[in-house]
Amino acid sequence: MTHAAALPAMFSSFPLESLGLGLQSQLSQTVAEGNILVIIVLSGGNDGLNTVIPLNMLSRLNSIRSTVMLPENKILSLDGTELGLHPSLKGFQSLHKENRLKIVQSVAYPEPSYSHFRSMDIWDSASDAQNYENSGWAARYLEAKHPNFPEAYPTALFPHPLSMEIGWNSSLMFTGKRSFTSVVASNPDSFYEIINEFDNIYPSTPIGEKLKYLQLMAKQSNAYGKVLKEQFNKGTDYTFPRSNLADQLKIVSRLISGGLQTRIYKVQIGGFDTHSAQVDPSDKTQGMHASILKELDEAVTAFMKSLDQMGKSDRVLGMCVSEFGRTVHSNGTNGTDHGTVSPMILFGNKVDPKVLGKNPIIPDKTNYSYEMEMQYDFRQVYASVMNQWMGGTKTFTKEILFNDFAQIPIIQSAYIDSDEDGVPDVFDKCNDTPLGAIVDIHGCEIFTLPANNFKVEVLASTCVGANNGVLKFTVLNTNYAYLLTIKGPNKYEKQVNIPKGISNSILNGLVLGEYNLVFSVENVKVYQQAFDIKITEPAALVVQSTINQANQSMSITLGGATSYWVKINEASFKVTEAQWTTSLPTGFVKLQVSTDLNCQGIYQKEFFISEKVDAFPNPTHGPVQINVHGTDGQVNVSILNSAGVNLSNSIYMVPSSRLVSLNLTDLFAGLYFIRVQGETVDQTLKIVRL
Amino acid sequence: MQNTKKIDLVEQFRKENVDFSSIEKARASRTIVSSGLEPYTGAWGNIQKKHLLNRTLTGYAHKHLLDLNNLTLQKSLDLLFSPEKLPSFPVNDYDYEITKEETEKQGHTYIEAGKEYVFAPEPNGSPWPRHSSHDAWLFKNMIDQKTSVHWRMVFFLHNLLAAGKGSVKMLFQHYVTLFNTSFESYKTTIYKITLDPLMLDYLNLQHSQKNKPDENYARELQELFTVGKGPKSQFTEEDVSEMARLLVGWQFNNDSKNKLTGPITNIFNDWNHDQLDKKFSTFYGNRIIKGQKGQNGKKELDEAIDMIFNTSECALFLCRRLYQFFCYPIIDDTVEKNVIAPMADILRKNNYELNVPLKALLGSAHFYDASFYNSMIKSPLEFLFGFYKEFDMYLFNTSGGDIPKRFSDSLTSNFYKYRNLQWEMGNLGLNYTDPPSVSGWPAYYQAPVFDLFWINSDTIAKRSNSGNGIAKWGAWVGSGEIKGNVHNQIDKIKFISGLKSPNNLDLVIDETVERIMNAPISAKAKERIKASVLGGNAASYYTQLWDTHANRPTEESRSTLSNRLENLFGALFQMGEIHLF
Repeated sequence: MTHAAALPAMFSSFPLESLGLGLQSQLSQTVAEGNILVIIVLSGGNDGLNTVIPLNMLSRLNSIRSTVMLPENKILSLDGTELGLHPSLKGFQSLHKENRLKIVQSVAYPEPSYSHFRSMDIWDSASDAQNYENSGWAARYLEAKHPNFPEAYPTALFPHPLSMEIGWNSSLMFTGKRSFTSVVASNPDSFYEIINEFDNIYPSTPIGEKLKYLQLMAKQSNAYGKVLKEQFNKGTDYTFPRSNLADQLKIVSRLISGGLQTRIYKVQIGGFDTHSAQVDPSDKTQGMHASILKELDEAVTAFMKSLDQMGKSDRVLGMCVSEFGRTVHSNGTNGTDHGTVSPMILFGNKVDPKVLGKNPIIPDKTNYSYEMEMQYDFRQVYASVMNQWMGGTKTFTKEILFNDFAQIPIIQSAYIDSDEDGVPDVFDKCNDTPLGAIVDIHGCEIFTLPANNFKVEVLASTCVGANNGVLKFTVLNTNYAYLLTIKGPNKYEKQVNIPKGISNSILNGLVLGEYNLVFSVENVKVYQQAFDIKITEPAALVVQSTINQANQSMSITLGGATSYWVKINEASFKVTEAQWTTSLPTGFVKLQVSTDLNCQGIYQKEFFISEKVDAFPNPTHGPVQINVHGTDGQVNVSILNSAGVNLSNSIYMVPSSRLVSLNLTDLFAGLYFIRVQGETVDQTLKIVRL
Repeated sequence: MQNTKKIDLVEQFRKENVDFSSIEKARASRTIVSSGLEPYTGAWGNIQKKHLLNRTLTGYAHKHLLDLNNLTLQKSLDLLFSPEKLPSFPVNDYDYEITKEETEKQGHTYIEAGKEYVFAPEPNGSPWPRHSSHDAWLFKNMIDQKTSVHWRMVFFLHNLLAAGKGSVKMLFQHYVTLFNTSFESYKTTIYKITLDPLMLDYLNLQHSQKNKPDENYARELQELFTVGKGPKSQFTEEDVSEMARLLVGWQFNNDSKNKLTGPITNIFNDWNHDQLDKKFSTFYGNRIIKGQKGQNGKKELDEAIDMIFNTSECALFLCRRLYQFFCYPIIDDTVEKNVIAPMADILRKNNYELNVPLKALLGSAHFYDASFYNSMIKSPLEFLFGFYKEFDMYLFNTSGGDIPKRFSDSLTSNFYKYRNLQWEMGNLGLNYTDPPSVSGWPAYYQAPVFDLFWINSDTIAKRSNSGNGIAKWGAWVGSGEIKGNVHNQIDKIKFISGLKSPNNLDLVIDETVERIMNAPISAKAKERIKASVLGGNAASYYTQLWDTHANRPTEESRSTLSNRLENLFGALFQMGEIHLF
């Protein structure tokens, strides 16, 4: 991670004031990178008593674990302590000399489990032995620090994986409450191998085609794939011995040297389940345990050396964990069985190098199931690492570990920087600034936002008495979570959260009136910005209809909205044009135009559209055929003279030919009007009687 | 309401760095499958049965394979082609999500909890939870399907006759039509879909005007639903406009949707219908459909459907669509000649009942050519439904918090169990009930990419997360009232205990792969999965753990075992092979 921060006062040889730099230039000058934790899992249950040996108990140990006990003259000494190291751990001995090794004695947890799987789960989840927690402590730590992970990630501030597991399996340690917080990779050069066999060459069959394609997409898929590969390629290959663990740490080393800002790495070494052949009976400094400790020692030594060479060893803390220790007694097969307590080893430039705890006590007489007394709960180590190294605070750590675990000195106090702003606690006046915040030289956050950061718009207006009003809020800088308080008519009050990574939000259901909006920023007490905005009534609906009787159609002009409902009798049409033409049914027509907002009004009109009627011959000497279109079965025919006087009124049946015969022979010559009326007909014809 | 962002699969694909020419070159060099519709007489084992089930169901599960125990191929097909019963209609199972007041405030008709809502008046669309409820109802029916092709036919028709964006009453009526006509003549389906409220609205016939007929539906009726746009489909622009004139006047009755209880009915506005004759091109034999007056104008639709189905291209087009959906997306000349043409003959001779040529295809030597096994990429539907079908699920709060009553209540639990599938699938590129366009999903029609469209660098990662997530936490249901997230956890231990040798990790991996994967996985992959289950320990510790749990289960043994099995399923659900069927 990057966090721009002030010059860390304690490393500066200048008095701060004399630098003569403005605040901003100081800020842009220093980019501190976060501390790194490398977890080395020793799986199988490491024999602590043969790793870190309590020299004051040698004679008792020699008697009860005679088949595995190391010869006294081969045990490596640890200056200033009553402890010795396994002869394979020469590099660890050097680290101790350099004040870079931390030993915590007799670590375990209450009510220990002797099952590998269960005990691994307990160490990974950091739960009590009687509780069954299905998330991991590292994942909970990361999720608490990054509440928007994984949806909004990677971000500009956190472009790299939050944690990485080297190997094939993702462990419970990194399984969160809601996400997988680690990226698993055995070789960042070809990614995601756990899910696919990337080296496979598939046949040119349909199934081969699909698998090959899936493989390609998987390679291209990981949000972090590209950046990991880049950092890996940028990194330097330092000299490492060849072993499984060394290969893993070599990848970590190269990623760190390439600038990867990942904070937690996990590597793993197996083979510690030494029930038999733990030692070679002919030379107890040899055997299975000796060879895996040697692998551990050489890999860690090379790793630290590489960090020294790249100048980054100040940033790294290593921590070895194993699910349990082994029995105090040796068994009949040159080995030891599942036990409980075991020392924990940590390493790094900034560790407090004092051995923590007393040497375990081995009584004179013990039965086979004797267990040494636990001095420290492993969660005390976790709590201390989180607080002192990873930037937790006490309450924060309590949340992650479900309980308050007393801290123990793991890191030298001068280096502890709880809020990770680059200003160590001893100098930090604001020791709870949010992660990634820009701080001043006192470690306090500096907060600004651009003037155009907020935008408020009325998306929809509403009617009196209705609540169709809609407001839209847009924020420019989405690195913050905002709280928006909206106050409006009738004591309306509403709070809207705009989480990180979200640029806009919509509020609907609003009534007419004035609204007052106040934006504030999460975790920033001093910053507020206010707006006033008014939701108004929409314009009135404007409709003009022109009916064309001759071709039975209508054109309407619409205004006041963008979308209208036009209802013609029982048929409804959604109209989005301002000018719209339609055919019309015959007979009485009920036209209704409305919009989605009631207060725009409803336009209604009723009219009659007649079917066509024509007559022939015209002029006539008397007989006339009236052609009545449509479907009316009968019509009323009135004859009027040119003065409009009604001369006759009769009902005619309309035959299937649609022709009604009239005889005007009895009438004088002149102009007459013939009106034909029915359910769908109302037409008046002019007829000339010759 | 969680909004799903729609993924444009075609757009996404373009962004990927795919060298398609090499794929096409490889395709060109493959052996051509020349077998045709002649009945398959080869080996009839689990491989063939799984192939058949994969392609005929909405997600595979082992129980379906058991249904084919001791059945011949013919008997298996008979079983698969037995129609299912239309399930009872969905009811208000979302009452916890929206109050009566809020429902009414939004302008909707409130329906009491436990009562049917699909015929309620809809003055103003539908309340959102009702949409979720309707989708959940569809998904549950598909997941609970019998060993029958019925729901997959509905999926086929949904993709072929793609429509969406309607209110619940419209959607429901649409799916019931698809379901009810699945085994009938496709001509009936077309007639009913033409007049289907959702389709009338989706392709604008509802708002078509006699003086300016809307051509949208007239075009798609021909181009997408019946004769297609292959080289031999030569309908013209005039055919489109004549068809538009023929169709204008049809509507659904708005009042039957907005004001009345009951199904939405059709009206034919004869005054808005074009009464002149409609003249079609030589592709339709220069057919003239006489313009009819008054309500007689309705009859023109029957004539038009007859005219369309009288073309030889219609049956060919429909059989190609069947082949691509059920067998393989790529059709070469040999397949056209040996498979499509004879299928089309069968279709014509059987009154356009799609199930007849489909059944012939699924029993043919061609379909059982080994190169087709697991040769397609699952859509998000088969991928996700598979988990729901294969595993028993139980509610579980991953933070040890509470499980709200509504998640387990018999009236509402299914709503919560299945509703999230809508956005789960949507995240992966398939918004069931809301297709990307009237063409359906590109995976079924867009050459030459086809089913590869389902997978891009975004969806593959999401599928991995989904699979891994289901293995570890289960499928998300909702938040706890007090704290935490409630999931439908898959019962991994129960699954393993149903295997032949649950305490032998090697055999467990083999049998689990056999059950949930179609394509075999490599020995190397199995080794890695095994190592990840064991976390660096000897396999005997797994045996010990299983036996301990089997003999005297405790909370500790359950939790420990479950954690180990999470690694097994988490790895398997992310394998490339899980995406093939």
